[in-house]
Amino acid sequence: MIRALHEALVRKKLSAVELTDKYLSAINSYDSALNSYITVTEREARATARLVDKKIANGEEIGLLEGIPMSVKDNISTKGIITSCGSKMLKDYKPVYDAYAVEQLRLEGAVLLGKTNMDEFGMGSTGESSYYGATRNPYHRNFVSGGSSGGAAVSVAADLAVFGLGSDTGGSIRLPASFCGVVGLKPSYGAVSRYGLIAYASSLDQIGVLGKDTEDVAIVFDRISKADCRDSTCHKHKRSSAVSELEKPLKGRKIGVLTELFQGVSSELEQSLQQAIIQFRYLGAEIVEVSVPDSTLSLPVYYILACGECASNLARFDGVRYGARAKHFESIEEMIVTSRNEGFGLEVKQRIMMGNYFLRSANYDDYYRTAQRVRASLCKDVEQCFAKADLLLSPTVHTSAFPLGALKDAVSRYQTDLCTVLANLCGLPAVSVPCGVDKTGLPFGLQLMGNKFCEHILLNAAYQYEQTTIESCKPKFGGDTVGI
Amino acid sequence: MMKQTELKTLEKLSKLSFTEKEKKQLQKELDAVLLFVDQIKDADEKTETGFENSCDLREDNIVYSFSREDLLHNAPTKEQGFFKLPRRGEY
Repeated sequence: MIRALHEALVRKKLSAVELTDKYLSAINSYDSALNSYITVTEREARATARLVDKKIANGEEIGLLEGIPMSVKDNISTKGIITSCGSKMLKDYKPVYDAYAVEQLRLEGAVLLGKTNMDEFGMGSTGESSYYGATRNPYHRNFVSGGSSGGAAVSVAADLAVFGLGSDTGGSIRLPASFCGVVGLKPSYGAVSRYGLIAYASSLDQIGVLGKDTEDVAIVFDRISKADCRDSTCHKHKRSSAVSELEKPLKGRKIGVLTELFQGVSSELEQSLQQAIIQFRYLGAEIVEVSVPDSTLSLPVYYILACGECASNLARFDGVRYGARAKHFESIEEMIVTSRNEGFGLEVKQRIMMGNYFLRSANYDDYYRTAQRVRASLCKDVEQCFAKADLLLSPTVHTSAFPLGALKDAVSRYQTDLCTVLANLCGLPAVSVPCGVDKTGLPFGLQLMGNKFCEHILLNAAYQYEQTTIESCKPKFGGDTVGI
Repeated sequence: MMKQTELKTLEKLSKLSFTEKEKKQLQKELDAVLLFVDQIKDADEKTETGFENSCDLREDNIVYSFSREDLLHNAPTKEQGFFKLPRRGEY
């Protein structure tokens, strides 16, 4: 899609301002029903688009992303633009700097349409825990978008942005991508700088891309995946271009089917996944079975570590230097407690409490330290899978989207992340690609996981698969749906 | 089941406070989460060491970062180039 729009701009079939206006007017018309944006940056978007038009009028060459409208998740810092993290705590917070990924995309001339809705501080899998209200699925407005990058996925699915930047701590890009029928990439840990990403769980967080198709995702990924000394965990090595590998045939590639993650999927989804496996075979890939016997432990390990890191990371919100401060208090102590009480939502408070329980000296060995050891042992098992296969295939999530409010308790909400957390625990890249629809027309996603820093191999396979999926397999809008 | 005294300690550590009604609901949720994560205690650990992400450290050089004005930009209250906080203790 990006390439086609770029061609249209270069051939002057439409101007960058016209393109931006088209998206802004779609947001205006449809987003009140979907709630995918928290902030829309109309003036800034038009100003960037005007600069691109000037370049085109002067006969200058423009880059592939110049004039392309994008959305950015609201936990990724944007200079001078409110970055709320979907929380009351940061409802007026304006960062004084851009996140690295945003900086790169601005340099490329991409047009920022606005900041997308998300589960508060990234804590949620359904898109329902935002202070600004739930994001709704464009295939059925009473269904969840998935989370936590729900707004990003919906903005792309409903044509309210060409692509979106999201973040993924335990599946937050892939899960909403699966529920909304778009492509979502969580890169390897260290592939994209986390500079300017407001931290939830620093050893798991990663910025990634959501797009209509794999090529768009690869184009954007190539531009944000660079070394950055401002994030000490961002890798220094030179990256292989993902775009230049997309057309490579899959002959000789080995795809491992992760058997444990198929247990409990519906027969409809099972059928879609088996069809995908047949297509990969047809494309020349060899299919092998691989196993991570303890994969069910990845969820409890993930929640212990994520809550522990969250308790520590969110301690900085004390109403002193930034963030909301309570109006009524009598001491500093009371100011901090009341500010946090008023600023955080229930899910966040619950995870902070849980995290502090795991980190208490009396419990530390039983939970946090044990979880780190099991994490290391899970990574070893996954490493052994990569001795047999280049990529690992599984469902992204065991279901299609479900009605808003359907998952009432914390544990059942946590369980939606079963297939996605392994990639975060092991720092591996993973992509969710649409692989069909259920009988009501809601999209399914399949997940491919790659070896560390092998995004080019991962996206090559996703792209090749996408080329063979016949139109009827691609999710369509209809009925209760919004599109332009 | 998580004891009330434990919840009180966690409230203090977390710098949060809950009403009695909220605490009851929270206790229910936290108990369920604990039951869920307790399965890792039976895990067959194949490694002695924990997981570590690689990290590239740089020289600790002084470089320009942010101006004082920038850093105070989001402060709820400020005065003469400082964060302003309520008075602590008596003078």
